Amino acid sequence: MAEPVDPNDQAERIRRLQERRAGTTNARRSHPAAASRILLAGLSVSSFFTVAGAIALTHRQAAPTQSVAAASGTPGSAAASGAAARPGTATNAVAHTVTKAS
Amino acid sequence: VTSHAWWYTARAGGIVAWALLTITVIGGLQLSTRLVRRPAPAWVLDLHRFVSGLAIAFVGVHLVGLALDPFVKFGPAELLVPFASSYRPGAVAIGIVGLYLLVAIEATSLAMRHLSRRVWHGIHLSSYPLFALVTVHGLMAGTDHHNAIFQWACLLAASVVLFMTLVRILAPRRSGARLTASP
Repeated sequence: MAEPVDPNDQAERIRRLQERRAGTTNARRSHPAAASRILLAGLSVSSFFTVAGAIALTHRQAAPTQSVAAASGTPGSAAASGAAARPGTATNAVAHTVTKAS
Repeated sequence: VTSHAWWYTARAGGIVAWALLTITVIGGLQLSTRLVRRPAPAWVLDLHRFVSGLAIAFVGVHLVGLALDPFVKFGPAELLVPFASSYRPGAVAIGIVGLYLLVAIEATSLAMRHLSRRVWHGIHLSSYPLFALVTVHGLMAGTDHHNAIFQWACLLAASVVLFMTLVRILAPRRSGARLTASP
């Protein structure tokens, strides 16, 4: 047999339940993956700058090799250095070196 | 360095976009195969959608970098029309086709509610050729194809995608897998 319910206690419990419900609807809960989204976006942007920086660094280090290769009359070897190669690099390297030499 | 800044932007943007596309494809395959029990499918689906959007953003960075680079001189035609470029026309054309596939997949996913599941799924399956095309594009058109790290990354990514695709084809489908939006 069920115990008699205390009306005061029941009213109190209903009041607390309503408060809790109101709290959950008013405060917007963030998506479970929200933190991961921010993390991934941050990682992508930082990777972008890291890769760009690494390419720039490699290019700067390879630049003297290109000039030497171009000056020695082997424009193909400048492009073959790979890391610093870009469309028309060999031609540009020759042009730049000739300009500087003259 | 400043005169080459747009070239570095294009290259870095392309590499990051490729990496994000790889993560998107692997996420989609995880959704359909449930190869790993955790994380929860809802979490993976949310990130699958988010990362694909990020990939498009970095493809945009790649294109802007190419358009603004003073050396390669890529105009709208070279960026959007296959074989219009004089620089490695085949490799660039592969990238352009990949761009259109990516836009089609993303657009149909955004308009998923207005499309039949059959149409959406048919277009979404082109993410497999998309992954293959962008990987080949990176290896053929990019000036980073000599880079050992990039080569190993391509090999690793291709191996993971191939393995998960084989699991997707050969393993029996689990109940509930059809409920998620995945290739």
